[in-house]
Amino acid sequence: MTTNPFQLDGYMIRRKVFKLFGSSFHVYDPAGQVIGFSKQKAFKLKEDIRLYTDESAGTELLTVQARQIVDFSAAYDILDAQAGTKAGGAKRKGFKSILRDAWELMDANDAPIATVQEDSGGLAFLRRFLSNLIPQSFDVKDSSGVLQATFKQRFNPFIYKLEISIAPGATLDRRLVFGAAVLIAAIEGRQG
Amino acid sequence: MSIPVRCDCRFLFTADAKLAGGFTNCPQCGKAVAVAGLRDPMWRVLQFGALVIWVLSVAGAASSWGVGGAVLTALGGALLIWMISRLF
Repeated sequence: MTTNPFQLDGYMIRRKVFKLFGSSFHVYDPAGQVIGFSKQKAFKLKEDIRLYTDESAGTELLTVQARQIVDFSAAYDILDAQAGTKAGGAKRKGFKSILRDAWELMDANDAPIATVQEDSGGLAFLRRFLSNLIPQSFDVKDSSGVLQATFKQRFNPFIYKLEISIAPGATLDRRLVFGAAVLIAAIEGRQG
Repeated sequence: MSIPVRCDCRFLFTADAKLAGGFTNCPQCGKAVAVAGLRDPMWRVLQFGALVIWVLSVAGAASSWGVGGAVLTALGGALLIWMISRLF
């Protein structure tokens, strides 16, 4: 039986770093079972990440799509493919992200409800100017500053691994957390 | 500024301009519906640049190969722009 990734408190995104064209990643539950798969086409101008339950790409779970082709605002919509509705969105904070990666999560009406930020300013600085081999960590906090989830990159120069842990009692829509993790794995991971 | 959006359920409503190129939920049926895009300011600059290159190419072809060359270049450029726009 397939596990619903939106009900899990922890999972891992694994992405190959050295892939010639396009990119793909798998999502694993804590038992190591594949619960999600995404393959991105190379040379696609508008970012369009589709997450499926497995490699057969038969059942789509989530769609993360950039709003613009040349996207300076870097805003993405997160769609629940099963329900056919928009769960919310994510927007990269351009200037803040120069020194420390920061994202804003929005609800379906585009109202900001949470932030995703690299946890350490010092490490973010070192990562940018000395070595991008230093793994990234992100904290997801709601608008009141309550921790909702953490994303931790595992040190591995060949395979990008991002561990997602949902905080106990988290109230944030897990589809948004999942969408944000997928975006970070696809976009930040590509820059690393 | 707002953008008119028509849902598959035939409900017509407006979405905020910042959602251009993205999605919004239909207030009538709740399903996600695409909002018309290509309003990014940089996209306008690129469109203008493509137009300038196209005009210059046509003018260049006209001076080198005459009216026939200009017409062929104009048609070829238009076809290329149409094919690129289909990619999006």
